[in-house]
Amino acid sequence: MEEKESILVVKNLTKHFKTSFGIVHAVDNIEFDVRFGETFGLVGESGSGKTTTGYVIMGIYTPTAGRIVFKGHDISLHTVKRPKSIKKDMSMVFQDPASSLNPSKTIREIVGLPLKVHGMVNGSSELDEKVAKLLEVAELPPERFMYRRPRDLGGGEKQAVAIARAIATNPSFVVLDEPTSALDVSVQAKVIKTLMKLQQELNLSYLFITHDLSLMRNVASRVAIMYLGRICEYAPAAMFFQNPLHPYTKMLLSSVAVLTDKEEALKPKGVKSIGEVPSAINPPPGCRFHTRCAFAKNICKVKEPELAMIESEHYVACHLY
Amino acid sequence: MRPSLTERLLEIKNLYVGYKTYMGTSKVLDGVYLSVDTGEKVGLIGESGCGKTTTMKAILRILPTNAVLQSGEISFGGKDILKMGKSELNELRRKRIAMIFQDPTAALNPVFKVETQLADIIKFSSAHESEETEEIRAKRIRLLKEVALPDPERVLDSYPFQLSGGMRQRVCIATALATHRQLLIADEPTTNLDVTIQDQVLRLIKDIVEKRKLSVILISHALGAVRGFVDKVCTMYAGEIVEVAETEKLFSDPLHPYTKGLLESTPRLTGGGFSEGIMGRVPDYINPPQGCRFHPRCNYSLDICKKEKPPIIDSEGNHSVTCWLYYKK
Repeated sequence: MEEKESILVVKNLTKHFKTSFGIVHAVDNIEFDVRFGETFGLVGESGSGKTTTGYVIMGIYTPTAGRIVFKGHDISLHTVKRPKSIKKDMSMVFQDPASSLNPSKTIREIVGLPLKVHGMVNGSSELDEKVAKLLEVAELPPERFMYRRPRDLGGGEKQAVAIARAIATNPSFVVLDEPTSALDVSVQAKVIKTLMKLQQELNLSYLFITHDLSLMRNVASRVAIMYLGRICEYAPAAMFFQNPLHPYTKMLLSSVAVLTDKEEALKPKGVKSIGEVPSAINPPPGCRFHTRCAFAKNICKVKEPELAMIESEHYVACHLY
Repeated sequence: MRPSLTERLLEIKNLYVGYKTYMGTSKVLDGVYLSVDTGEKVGLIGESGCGKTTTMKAILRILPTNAVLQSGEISFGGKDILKMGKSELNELRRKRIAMIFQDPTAALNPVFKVETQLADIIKFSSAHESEETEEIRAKRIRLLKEVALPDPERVLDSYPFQLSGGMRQRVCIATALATHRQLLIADEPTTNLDVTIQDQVLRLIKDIVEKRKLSVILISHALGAVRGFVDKVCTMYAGEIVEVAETEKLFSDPLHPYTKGLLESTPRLTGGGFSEGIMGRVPDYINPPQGCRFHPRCNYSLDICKKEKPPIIDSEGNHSVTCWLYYKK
């Protein structure tokens, strides 16, 4: 993992939460990097730790252990301890636009807030001008949207406002946490188009968090699949979908409901989804997936597999390889 | 695939349902039609807010109190549900039609154990209301085993919050199966579940339906889930059924611009990028668009689309579409 070509490098990142039931191992010792200008996909089911990873990177949580390096600076800190210049350079779009926008503010205030915080505007006419430009970039006609409030907008429009806010400070890195999972498919297509267009125009790097593999196939250049706080497979997207290796990723792919026979042919054969995700408080010893794995051997129950390179840039954490 | 002797089980004709709001009546269902044969599996697809759930609730007459059933006919086994009295309706809900809801957490009562909830349903819906307790217990365990819940004894002794989402949905399916019903309505049964669990639950419902030879209406906005499950698909948009076709036909050769748009906007595992989606959003039901309700979002709209409602046009092979583009004089 070269630090030079990567905008973000995550090393041995761990995040545990103390609860009254015990310690939740949300993210355990994961490693990946996001390169300049790419869309890096983080895939997993609920409880796999993908959102926690995004939050730790943004400094919403302090990491329990490990390092996060952003453009060469170590930022393994809570957001309040991070320098303002770094905070300006990273932003986030949340899953549910209905709860991530303040219902009592106008769109102008919502999109204008990061501009004010980072001292990027002088006076209200300049604010108007900049907000209007941002809304235009996010494909919201400013004259219609500037003084409306979130409740007047549809789901896709709200998410577009959240995107305008995320790019307000001209960041180079954006965390997208399931940006379209609360939207209908017809609206999803539009939001994704906008995001891809912005990436081209503003040279953004994305960390795209999602559970939807079909969506991931169409947006990401490289993907990491998470299961119970661990990365189990890590590969360029095209390679991954052609040749998934880890039993969990095979199960995940075979569970996707598809629309055409061509897609059906891509799904791994003979893998049936069984069992449920165990609790992250007492994750199974050894490989965390062994309780649901059809190929589990004795070693899987005792020894945790390391991420190993199988072919160029294709890493798998599994004793089978 | 279809049984040769088909018998119409459910037929909805010209159903109009509105909701009273303080801003006026919102005219949601606008002449919905739908038919289900005995043993047939029907899928209903469409975006959120297009009236899928309202239609299903109308079948069971469990619409909220501000709903107005304006006109229409829902005949089930030859009887009009809209004209049924209270006791007949109860009979219908007890023994004929079962429904699985989208959110299993809300469908189960949080303060009673699974044991109690299942027992109540078995007692309420069975023909012999005074079954022995032993019998009920055995039946509950049998039901839970049928929905492939591991360790049924523990599940019976749990409150809903102690179960995972997938397990709760399985319990809901068990309640729906408590007696032999003729029609199962599954309203987005897997939307709130994880991908791998979705697959499991869908397979389970499919197995049970085929084993028991039930008729099913599966509602979903996940087109893939519908494709692998049903014989016939109905597309719904803004309170109207816009297209009805056999599953293969609809997915390979959709006619209505809305169905086409939906299929194009769904991301594919094979890659290939994205379409533009469908512009705009579901209309306001208080002042719905004149003519075809889809015309403000349609790329192909003609002049007539803005003025007059399109007729239902039957094309060959049980494929019908409600669109002016296919109208021939």
